[in-house]
Amino acid sequence: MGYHIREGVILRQVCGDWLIIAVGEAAKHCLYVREINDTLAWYWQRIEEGLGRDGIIRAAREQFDAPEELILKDVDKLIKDLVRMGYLLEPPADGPAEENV
Amino acid sequence: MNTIHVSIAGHEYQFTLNFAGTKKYFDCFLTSGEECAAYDIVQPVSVEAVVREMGRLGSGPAFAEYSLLIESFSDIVLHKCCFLFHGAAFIWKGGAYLFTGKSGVGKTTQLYNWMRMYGSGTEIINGDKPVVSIKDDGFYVHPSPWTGKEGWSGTKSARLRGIILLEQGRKNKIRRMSEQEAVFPMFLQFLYVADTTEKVDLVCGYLDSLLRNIPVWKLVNDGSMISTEMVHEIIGEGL
Repeated sequence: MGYHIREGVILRQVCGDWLIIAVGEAAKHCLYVREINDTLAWYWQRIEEGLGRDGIIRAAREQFDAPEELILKDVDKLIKDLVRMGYLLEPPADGPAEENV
Repeated sequence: MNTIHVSIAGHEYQFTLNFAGTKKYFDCFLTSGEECAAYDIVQPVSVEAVVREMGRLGSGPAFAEYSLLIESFSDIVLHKCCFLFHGAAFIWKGGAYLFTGKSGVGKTTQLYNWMRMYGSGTEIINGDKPVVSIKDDGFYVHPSPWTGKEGWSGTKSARLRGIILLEQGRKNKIRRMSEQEAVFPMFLQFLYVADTTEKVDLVCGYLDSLLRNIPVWKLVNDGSMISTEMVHEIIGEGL
């Protein structure tokens, strides 16, 4: 997959609440701050670790007690939404192959 | 250019002003600069930036420069265990309270109501952007030169006892917020330039400490005196 988080976008936890914050130039491309839930924060941390779509799905299968189809649907929607919101950048057309986990 | 020394929240700062008229906004905070050997230098704003701000605000150069200086000032105070906070601050029974919320939500209305109903026992600290400092024994709220449209400002500081987050609504109600649910709305009220991760991390740290130590109440209100009375009941009970 090769998606990566836009430079300057960071995840922080305050009093148990998760915030995605766009710092500096990043704030020109996406919302300055957004509150997210624990599940989304978990997925975000997987992306931060460098996992691609397939790696995230594998990790989610182990983490969440949910049907396979739901996990697939959630991950694809998540990636699409994060790209649309400007947080995630798509790999170039001839980008690197999916990394193995 | 004109150099002035001011004292804000117990610290001394040097401001360099391009326009003589800007000085009047700092009148209540001026010092001679001789009493204190150490002061922080607030980065001046460029004339070009002032001109742009004049266009944006529709104001003269002095007000534009005064408005822009808050950015450099907010940078410095962040590194001194202080922060600028968007809210109307007042002292009641020896403690400081803050009305906060989005612009236009009714902070001024609530403070105005409060002064009408309980003014004899109240002192205003700042009507728009007070400085909050973190000391060993708690959070303190201080006057700042940035007072908002009404120019409400005082001379005293006080220990912060509570924050009231305002929201507009037809039915008045007030309740205590959990620390977690107060994070996002309170984060938005910190006034600083989020251009480095280091500054964001400082703000997150201050916010974490603030919410673990200071109660936050959410007041859904229609701007009436009844809603202000609800705040009075809560504060009076010390809940």
